[in-house]
Amino acid sequence: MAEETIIGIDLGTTNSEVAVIRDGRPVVLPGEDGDPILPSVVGLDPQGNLLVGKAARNQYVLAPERTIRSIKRKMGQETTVTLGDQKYTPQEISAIILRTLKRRAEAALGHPVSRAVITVPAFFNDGQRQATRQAGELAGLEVVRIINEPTAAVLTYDPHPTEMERLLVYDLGGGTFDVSLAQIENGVVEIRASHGDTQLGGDDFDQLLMDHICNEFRDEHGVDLRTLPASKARVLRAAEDAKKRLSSEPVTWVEEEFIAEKDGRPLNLKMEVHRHEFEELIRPLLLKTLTCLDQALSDGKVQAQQIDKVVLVGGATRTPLIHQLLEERLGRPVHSEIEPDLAVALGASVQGGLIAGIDLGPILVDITPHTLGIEALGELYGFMSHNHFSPIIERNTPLPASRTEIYSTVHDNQDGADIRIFQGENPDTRYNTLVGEFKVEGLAEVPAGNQILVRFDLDLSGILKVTATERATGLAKHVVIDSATERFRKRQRSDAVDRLDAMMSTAAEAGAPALPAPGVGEAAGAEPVDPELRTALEAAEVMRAKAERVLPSANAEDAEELRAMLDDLSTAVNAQAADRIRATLRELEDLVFYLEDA
Amino acid sequence: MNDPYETLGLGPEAGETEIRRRYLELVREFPPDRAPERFTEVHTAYEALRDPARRLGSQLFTWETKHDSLEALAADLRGRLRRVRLPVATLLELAESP
Repeated sequence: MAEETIIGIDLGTTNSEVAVIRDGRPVVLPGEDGDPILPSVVGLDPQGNLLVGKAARNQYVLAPERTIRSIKRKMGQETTVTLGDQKYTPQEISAIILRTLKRRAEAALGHPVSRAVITVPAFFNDGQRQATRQAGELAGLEVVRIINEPTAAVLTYDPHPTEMERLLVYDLGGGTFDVSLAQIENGVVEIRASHGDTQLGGDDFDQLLMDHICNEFRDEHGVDLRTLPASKARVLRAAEDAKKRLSSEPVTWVEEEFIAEKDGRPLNLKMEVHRHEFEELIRPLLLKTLTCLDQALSDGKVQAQQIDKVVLVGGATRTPLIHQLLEERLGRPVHSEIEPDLAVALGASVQGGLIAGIDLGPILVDITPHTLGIEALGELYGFMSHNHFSPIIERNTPLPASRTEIYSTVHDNQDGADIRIFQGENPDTRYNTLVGEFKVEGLAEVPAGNQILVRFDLDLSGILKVTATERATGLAKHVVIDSATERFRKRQRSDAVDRLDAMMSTAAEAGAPALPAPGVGEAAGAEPVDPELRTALEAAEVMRAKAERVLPSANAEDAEELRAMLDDLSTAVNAQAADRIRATLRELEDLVFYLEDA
Repeated sequence: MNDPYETLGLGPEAGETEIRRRYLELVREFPPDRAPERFTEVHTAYEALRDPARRLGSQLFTWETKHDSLEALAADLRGRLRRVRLPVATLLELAESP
């Protein structure tokens, strides 16, 4: 049944992909440009039309204020980002990416798709998972399961090895890090332990390298490029490119013409960056990942030498220092057998296929990487404290998990109790993450010691449901989980869907027809693999900076002409038309030259 | 708590390999998304038996507290001690582990 298709989506910090099961095998679906990778970037073009993917990423340098990247790092936070003159929640921005992938899948399959498995970092907490599910709903997808990224990668492996295999998955993406220990035997894939850091990834490498470049530049020229948004965006992009080159070259140049000006004179950025300099910048972050790795090994009661395979997932694992540190730590060679950018989406589609009832082999046993519990009166640092963390479901417990603990009221005639749910490993709740809270009200007026049963149900997506029951009456009392995301759900959901529909329709007007064509604007923004186009785009960036420098001193008439040309340039850039870019550049060049002289 | 041996359908003489094999068999029969409750039982039972130290604990201390006197409890425990048949090597390993 075609309608039963469940697509698998890797919703990444930097890139996203969608995969499906075709003829019993997972395949990643390419966009119209043939590339399966959709940059997780959303933006507005100068006309206010929506851009998603490469088109949005390419305009980042030209218009950072109209472009949003790395939204995944904000998932689960009660915050908004500004795009154009509107504010959006992280869920809404993610939903735009998800809708684009949904359309891509619909175009490839030739029928509507309504159900999806979406991956999240194993170390994502309850709020971050809820937010991901909401993003899916906003995109018109029923999220049938949320699965952990390293787990998804493991699902691409043969579930029937001749002998039991222990896999270590080291997943370093754009914004998050996970390490998971898996055991595969007789068709059963068991995750034994997971650890990670949801705020550590390749983005941080770019940031560190950008800071390094900006510091050097400031020392030399006395100008801090980080204070100039357009220059900062260019340095960040240059740092990103330099980082990638340093994976294969020991030294590289970072060159950006006309990056700023001082005393009316243009300043150029030209700097040599050695791989070892870059490695010293990122080493502290990588050492943090090794601490996570040690924790996972000790939780899983596995020695480094018992690992059969090391699986590298995520673009950032291309960094040679990671290979070197892992080889030292594990005492064995490390090699990526799987495509680090696509494995997660492929695994998500395997999980989707399994849920849809396709027999693909593996049975998955996953775990929760976090301990979940409530705040209760108890001993802390040798004293009675209200901040005592009382665990109910311990970390590394397999999913689904259900457990009930019994608590007692402390005061006579206590008619209510606050149930505050935390996630974390610290005995002090103040160091753990508050997942949600609710109040049990209308308790019987009895002496202290009235028993309250607190039941935790953690589902296969790692999402928690909590029920509190007064034992004596057997009645579940007024239970509402009031987490940030629940508040969001009530207040904004229908508004958000309307807004998203409106936005996606501007994308359709911008050239991409509505359903079932793929890629909102992404088709228009093909990767500049063509060197000619690449050169043109770079020239456009430089010219834009020059033009903006002369703009304030130009008279009204010239300024208007200049702005019109800049708009033409943006349009040509977004259309990725090298000849149109060059033509506009020639016009601009004359005008800028004239204005510079004036 | 249920007797983990009973849940897995194994006798107390079952060794590590057999326990593992049986566990995987039952997981395939009762996967977490199709039979969550049965899966949890199976997994809990396996956890109780997966390594020698836990196995010893399960064999000694898993019972229904139906004894109405200390004597009855002691007799039951003595009976259970006879059921514990761990290989000498394992016992030595246990004795030496901290």
